[in-house]
Amino acid sequence: MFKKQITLKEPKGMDAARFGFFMILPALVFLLFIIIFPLLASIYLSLSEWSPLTGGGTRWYEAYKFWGWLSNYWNILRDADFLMSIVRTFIIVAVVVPVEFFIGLGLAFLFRDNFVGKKIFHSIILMPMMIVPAVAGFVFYMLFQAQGPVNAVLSVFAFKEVSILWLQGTWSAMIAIMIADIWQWSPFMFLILLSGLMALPEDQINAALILGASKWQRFRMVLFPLMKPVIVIALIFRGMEAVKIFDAIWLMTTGGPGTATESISVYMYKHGFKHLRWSWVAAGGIIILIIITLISMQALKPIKEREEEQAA
Amino acid sequence: MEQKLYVKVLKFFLIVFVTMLFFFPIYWIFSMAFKPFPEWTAAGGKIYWFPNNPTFNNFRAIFSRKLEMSPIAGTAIRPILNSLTVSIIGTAIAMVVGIFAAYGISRYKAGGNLPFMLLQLRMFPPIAIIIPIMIMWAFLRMIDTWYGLAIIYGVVTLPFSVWLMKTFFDDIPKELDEAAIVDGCSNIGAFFKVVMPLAKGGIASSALFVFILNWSDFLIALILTDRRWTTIPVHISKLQSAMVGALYGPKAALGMIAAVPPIVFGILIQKYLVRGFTFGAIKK
Amino acid sequence: MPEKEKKYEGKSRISRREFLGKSLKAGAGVAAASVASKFIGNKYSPHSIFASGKKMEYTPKEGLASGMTGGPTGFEGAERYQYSADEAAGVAVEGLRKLKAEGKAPDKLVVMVPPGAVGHWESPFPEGAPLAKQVFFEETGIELEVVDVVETEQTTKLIQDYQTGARAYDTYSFWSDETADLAASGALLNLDEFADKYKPDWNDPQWGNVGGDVTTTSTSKHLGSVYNVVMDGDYQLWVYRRDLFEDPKEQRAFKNRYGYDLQWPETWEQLDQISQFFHRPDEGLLGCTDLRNQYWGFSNWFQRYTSFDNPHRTYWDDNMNPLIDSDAGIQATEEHVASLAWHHKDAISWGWPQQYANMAEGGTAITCAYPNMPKFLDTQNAPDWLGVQSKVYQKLRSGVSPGRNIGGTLVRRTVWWPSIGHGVASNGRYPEAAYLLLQWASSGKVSTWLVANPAGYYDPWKVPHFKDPFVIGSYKDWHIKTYQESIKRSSPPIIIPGVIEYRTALDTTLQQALTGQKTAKQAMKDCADEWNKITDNRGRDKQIQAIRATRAAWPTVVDKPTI
Repeated sequence: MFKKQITLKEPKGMDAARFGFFMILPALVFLLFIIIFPLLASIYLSLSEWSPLTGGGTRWYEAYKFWGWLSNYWNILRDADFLMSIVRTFIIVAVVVPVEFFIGLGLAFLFRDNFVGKKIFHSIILMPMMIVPAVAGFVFYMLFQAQGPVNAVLSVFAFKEVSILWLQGTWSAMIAIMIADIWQWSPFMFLILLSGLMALPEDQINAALILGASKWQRFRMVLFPLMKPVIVIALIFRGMEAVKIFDAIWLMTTGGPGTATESISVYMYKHGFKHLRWSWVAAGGIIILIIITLISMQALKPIKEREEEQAA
Repeated sequence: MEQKLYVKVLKFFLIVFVTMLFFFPIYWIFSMAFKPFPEWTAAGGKIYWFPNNPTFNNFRAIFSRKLEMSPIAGTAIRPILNSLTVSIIGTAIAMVVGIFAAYGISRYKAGGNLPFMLLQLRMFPPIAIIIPIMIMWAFLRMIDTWYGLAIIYGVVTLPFSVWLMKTFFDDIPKELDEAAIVDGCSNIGAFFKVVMPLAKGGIASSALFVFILNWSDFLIALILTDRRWTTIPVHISKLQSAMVGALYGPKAALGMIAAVPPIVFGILIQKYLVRGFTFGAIKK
Repeated sequence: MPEKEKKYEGKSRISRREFLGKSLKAGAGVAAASVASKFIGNKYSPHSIFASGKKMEYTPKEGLASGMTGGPTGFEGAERYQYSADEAAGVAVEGLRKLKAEGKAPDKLVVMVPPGAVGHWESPFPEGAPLAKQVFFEETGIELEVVDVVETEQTTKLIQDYQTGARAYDTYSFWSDETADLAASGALLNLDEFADKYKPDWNDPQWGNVGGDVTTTSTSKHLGSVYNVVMDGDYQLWVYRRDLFEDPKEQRAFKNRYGYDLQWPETWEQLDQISQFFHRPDEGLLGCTDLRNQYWGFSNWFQRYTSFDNPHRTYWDDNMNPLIDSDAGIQATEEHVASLAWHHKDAISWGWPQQYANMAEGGTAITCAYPNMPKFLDTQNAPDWLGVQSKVYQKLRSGVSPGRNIGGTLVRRTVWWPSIGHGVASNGRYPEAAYLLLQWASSGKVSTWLVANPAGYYDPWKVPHFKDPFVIGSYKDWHIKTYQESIKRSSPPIIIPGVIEYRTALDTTLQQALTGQKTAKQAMKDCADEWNKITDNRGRDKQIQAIRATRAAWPTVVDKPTI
């Protein structure tokens, strides 16, 4: 083993390749461990019409006795609640991600200058994203009660008593959930955009200034192009995480009133664990996996390109 | 460029205002934790913005042997220890597996598409395949055990540990381990003797980051535990009593306890948070 | 629990039972006894039964009343819970001893219970008494491992246990209205054969369920067979504020306004008038706070709906055609929605925790809740860390659910929901022993002792419970009468296979009606459509058979109106 002349730049010898393989082996095993069985079982179940409650005592692996081919897919793709949960999830993402972005951007600009206690303010603003999401959901549940602090504060500004039934209205409950999410994740945008801003080369900005560019021009022509990679990555990661939203909704409304705030995850949880429709949610899960895979393949492209650039 | 004074002052007030907005919900948990029952809600027609009669009773409630008249028999001690145990072990699993993989990927370009598979894994909602995972866990007798929860945590956070460590390893010049190998070190020797010591800081901050993620989980613990290994978030959701209903005070007290480690660690690794949440795509 | 013990317990669950089975057969009973005693702790000393190995001799206990062969001892009144060898509990004990001698019973049974019920088994009551599981152990040599599973997770865990073949439990606990679904799922064992053999006292007029076989059918049967040993009586009972109803000023004002005396109402119309009368949110008083939230609120809709015909109105006709989209269903829904007017603003997110808390504050005139409301609120025993006591101490009374005047006959219908039930795991290793445990625990005498124990939340449901001084003491004598009368007038909720889906469909559409997303008519129509879809999915013929088997569960007791 010793004294072997192996350069890492071009790992020619078996040993280097094998060594590399052994290094990633545990991760590979873990990954396959968590993917293979669940994926195969999901596909298998999804092609049957079996559920633990309707199977007449059969076990999940006997689902072939209730074979249904694509009937679950056919039915779930026409199921209003399922489709609405997807639409609703994308509405949530489409609202919260841009709002979080602009709040984050605004804050990042404010934090470019020096001021008294900057470090403390900085730390405080980062706190929400460190809070356990389930705890955050519980707090916002309290804040949004009809006699809760949110209405009390609004009453002060409206000069009359405001008693919005936040969590009981179809749209107000959605808004409440979005506010909770925005509170928790704007700091993430702030953090990323601030570090992006701080990394900008001073001289280019100064040059633009000397050329007499207006603020807006400076932003559009200089800052934005320079920050674009950072912005794209921030939007992608936040967007992908927001699709998974569950904890806050579950604690604030459990998807109610009715099905008014059911996101994809909440829908899947309800039907999988409360109504025990296993083959149904298996089909739903596969559909979600396909959608997410398609989206993430697109979304991850910029990151992949970056990686390849760096590697080159 | 110099700003006018009034602009500076205005900006400062804006910052103070926004910071207060962001801090308010956290303040609400912390103050609720010290409020006695009559101040929990505005049922009496008045909102208590501060604890008027601060008390430790909420903490007593969650740590006393029994919440009388409540369906919850256990204390919060067990869930706190559980959360710590499974988060730490889950983090250890993710880090050990992740460090090796990251090194293999960073230096030997091993694994091909593995890094991106990991990223995609992270993007799937776990709920979409949790039923087969539950079946599998039950089959392996891993439901409601510390190792069952720790393993799934390790897997779920593996993408983060791999990507984070990969960026740290990428930052360490390759020439260092090459030189070590030329000097007679084995591959593994170069890794342990040269690279690992240089990556210590990166390992620590990545581990803390992964810990925060594990600590925050609610859904997985809800499904894969029964009673022995329930974690803090699951325990919080159970705190109710027949006489006074949802135990806001005790819930907040435990919520506050749950909030402290991530906040402390988060501030500690502030510099690396960006890196963490973007899988190292953005380095500070 | 300390780490060491945990580990031990976890290990023991998989392997110990088998190990013990073998070792016992080999005559190594002593080893088993030492394991068992370590597990249980110092409280019980291992009984002499183990020392004799294979051949067990059960020494008669001291402190038993004459003629009695078993039961708790050592406290005043213990004789009330002691049984003879020919009573249901005694038969069960004899049966278990016989099984044990034949090697057909284990040394330990794993019993699933909801967290709120652990106290029935593991808290001594009254002071100086042994634990229930201790008595069981001493008499049968079988140890009980009580595992608590949160109510809302029970169904999932039970299905998980069955589907994965984990065999982690010998008996399951679940919500009784789901009996049919769980029976059809194969997870629960049909108990008819054992019941024929051991003669439980479920339908005994003296020791059985209030309402006899009607109640048993309602809570426990699927297609005419028993799958569930019900251990809880969650009848939805109406409680009101005596101090308000008996206030002469209020009485005068009420009579002036409505033309009849203020008293506990007989019809929904009267209830709504009284609720409206008392609804004074500015003074911190609500009219009526029967629940309207997701998952619980529909139980109050059931009451309004099932009282629509004489003797009752069912959810489906005999051919599984939904009846809820009829005028009756629509009117019940309209009333259900209209009553939000005298409820709390947050009614739709209010669960029983808020409801009880509000009543404890004296915040409402009327409500409908579990039977235990007086037990928790008509008392001054709040835990000291709370720093607050119930404000309605000695101010509560209760009344039988209101109803409708159908051509001169008063039909009053409350509903039970959800009542914890226990069943035998169909994949358990010792089904007969598990059944006998349930027969023992549900027997008139033992169940009375369990229910009397305030450390658990099971509510009374059997005839003897309502005569027990401990039960009467905590549930209050005035409530006991309402309670018994209510059970006799109690409709079943949905209890056919598919209940979980049917219930959810109804719940969701009711929520949509309550939040104004749908009109009552639309909601009921949508729900009926959804129900038909579920029925077709399950096979209409099978469902028709099931619905016909539940006819016997419907009460026929009616009254004469007096107001």
